Amino acid sequence: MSLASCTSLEDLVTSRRLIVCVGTGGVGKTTVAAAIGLEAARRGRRTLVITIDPARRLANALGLDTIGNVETEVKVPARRGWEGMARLEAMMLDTRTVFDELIVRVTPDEETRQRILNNRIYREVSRAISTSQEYMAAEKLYHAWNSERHDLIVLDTPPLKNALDFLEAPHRLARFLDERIIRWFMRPSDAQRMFVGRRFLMSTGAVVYRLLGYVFGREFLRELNDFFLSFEAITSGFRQRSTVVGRILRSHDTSFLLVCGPRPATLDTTRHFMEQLEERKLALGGMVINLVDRCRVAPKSDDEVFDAEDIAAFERVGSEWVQFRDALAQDLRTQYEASRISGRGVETLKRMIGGKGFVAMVPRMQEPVNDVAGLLRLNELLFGNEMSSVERDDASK
Amino acid sequence: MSHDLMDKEVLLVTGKGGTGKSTVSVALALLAARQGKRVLLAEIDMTRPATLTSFGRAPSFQPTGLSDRIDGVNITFFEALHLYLSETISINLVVSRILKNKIVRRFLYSTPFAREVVFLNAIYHFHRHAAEHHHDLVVVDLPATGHAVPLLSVSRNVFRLFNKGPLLRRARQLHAFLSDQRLVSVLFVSLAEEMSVTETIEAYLKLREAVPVAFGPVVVNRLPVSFLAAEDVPVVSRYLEALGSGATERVRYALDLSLSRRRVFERSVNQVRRLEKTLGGPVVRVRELVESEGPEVARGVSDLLEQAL
Repeated sequence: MSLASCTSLEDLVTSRRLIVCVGTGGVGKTTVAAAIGLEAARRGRRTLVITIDPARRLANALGLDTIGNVETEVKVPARRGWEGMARLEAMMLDTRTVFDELIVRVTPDEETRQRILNNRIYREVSRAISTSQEYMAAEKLYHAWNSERHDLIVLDTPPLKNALDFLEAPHRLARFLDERIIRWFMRPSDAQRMFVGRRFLMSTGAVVYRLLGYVFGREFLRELNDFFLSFEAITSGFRQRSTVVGRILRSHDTSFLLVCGPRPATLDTTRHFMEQLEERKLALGGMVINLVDRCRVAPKSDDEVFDAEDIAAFERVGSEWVQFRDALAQDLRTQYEASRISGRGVETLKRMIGGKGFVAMVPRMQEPVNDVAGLLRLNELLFGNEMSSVERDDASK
Repeated sequence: MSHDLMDKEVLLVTGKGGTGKSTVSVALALLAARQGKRVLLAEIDMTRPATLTSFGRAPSFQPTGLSDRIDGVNITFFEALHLYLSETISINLVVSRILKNKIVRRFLYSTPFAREVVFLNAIYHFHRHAAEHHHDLVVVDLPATGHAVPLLSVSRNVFRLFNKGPLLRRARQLHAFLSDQRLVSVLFVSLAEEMSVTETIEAYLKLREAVPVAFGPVVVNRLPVSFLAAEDVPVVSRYLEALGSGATERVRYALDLSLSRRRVFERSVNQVRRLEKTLGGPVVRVRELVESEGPEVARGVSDLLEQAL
């Protein structure tokens, strides 16, 4: 936060080393992340976009069939103004593989490695994508950052309602592997003692351990015990990572970008994200308000959509227009109403961010972003073409 | 079919983030209440319960009255764990001793099945005790699919891991509860967009493979609206072309807008068809409610659901 705060999205894209996109689901976070990565590369910065989105949204948007766990180069067809484009890479996390890779990297020897990889608890933990994807994002971030192969990393986070869980992930993993928990689980002598009934020697830990045995079964605890035993050798590695990732996220080269939409139902969640960022002392760069409904013209009045001049124009072509007149009127009214609700949402969001960051707006696109062409359209809306500067003028009013 | 769904005792609602599953949950509760049922609306471990928007009240772990016929409950982890432990160990002192241990609490929260079994068990509990609170129906606003599918499939994972013990016994009960097709139904909420539909299909199939649960209709939420009839599209296009720069701004925009709204609508309908075809199950369409905001939305959705079901 020691750098001057960003005044615009361009500023963010050209000055930061890490941009973390956060926000609720369904607002186009992944495609915005991709468009930002594209812009940075266009401006000559070597860029990596990382996503955990399992839906291949990023792969689609970048025109790739699949993106694996490794950095994949994105080819953008030659265009004018894009001659100086730097290398753009994308990576999609497959949590299971990343977890395995991680184990291989941090285990001291083959035996420990195999023991962990074959432990049933481990296998379930790594399979339960919902809980491990956050760890993996942090893990890949750690490596990408340390490799120093990129000028900018754009990280797309999972759309968790329990916001920013992922930021806590390394910390949570470290906590899960907390020394105390492990030590506590690895007191076979205590456990032995309690089974022979020498209660007076039992520690609290042993009592609780035994009770948990009743609740979850001794077999479960034994597996866990094994799991922790095998993990013991590597916990310091995790803890060290957790510290480093925390430092990366709070580096003055890092900014968070809040990607949101103006729909009333999502405003509360967006506010929640902002509060969480503030609480954690993470630097908010600005806000991209996506999917803004616009209506370029207003209906004539509450009762009439078209005025005499409009009707005269229709008449010049013929009389068939009466058959679709009502449809046109209703469509226009609906759009107008949507744009008013959108406008109110935008106002609320702008008040929310106040002077704490820039606001960029993107109108709702008619076509979904499913390929590079779509991404280029989004890129144009975000950075610099006529439409987006109009939008931004609106924003500053 | 409407009969089927509203005859269930537990409706589990899930969907990708941003599809409006919380709104649909509230709407289902409102609909059931309107049909004279008493409803318990449950949310899972929400720091900010969605019912706050609809009812202006945030419930706790104890069922709290939200409206005339609807009670709300927020299934928080700590209370759900307390419940689970007390059901397993009948001595209260012992339970509180376990719960007092911070390490254990933290540990159980981070252990995948422990957390899921604990949450699922709480849902099971509220259903079993529904009669005491005079609830005819429990509507559960589950977490987003990424978390809900592992939550509902936890029993299978436990089966895979253990061949005896109390956890296995509990998992069997929970499995039997979820698989009771007369009582329980799972509803997915999706948008009519390509990505959303793909994600819904994936999650749906994954869950179907894991638990023999009954699926209610997939609710396609916020279906875009277009007023232009298909047969008018060529005429409107012709007008747009013929008018060129001769039209007023409003006319040109209106022609263009109606065509593009029609395109969006058709694309959405195709996505709904894909959903129907792939899943082979019924789909309920809820059109986009442009005109309403805040608590109005859930009420509007519940009207539309009533018509559609």
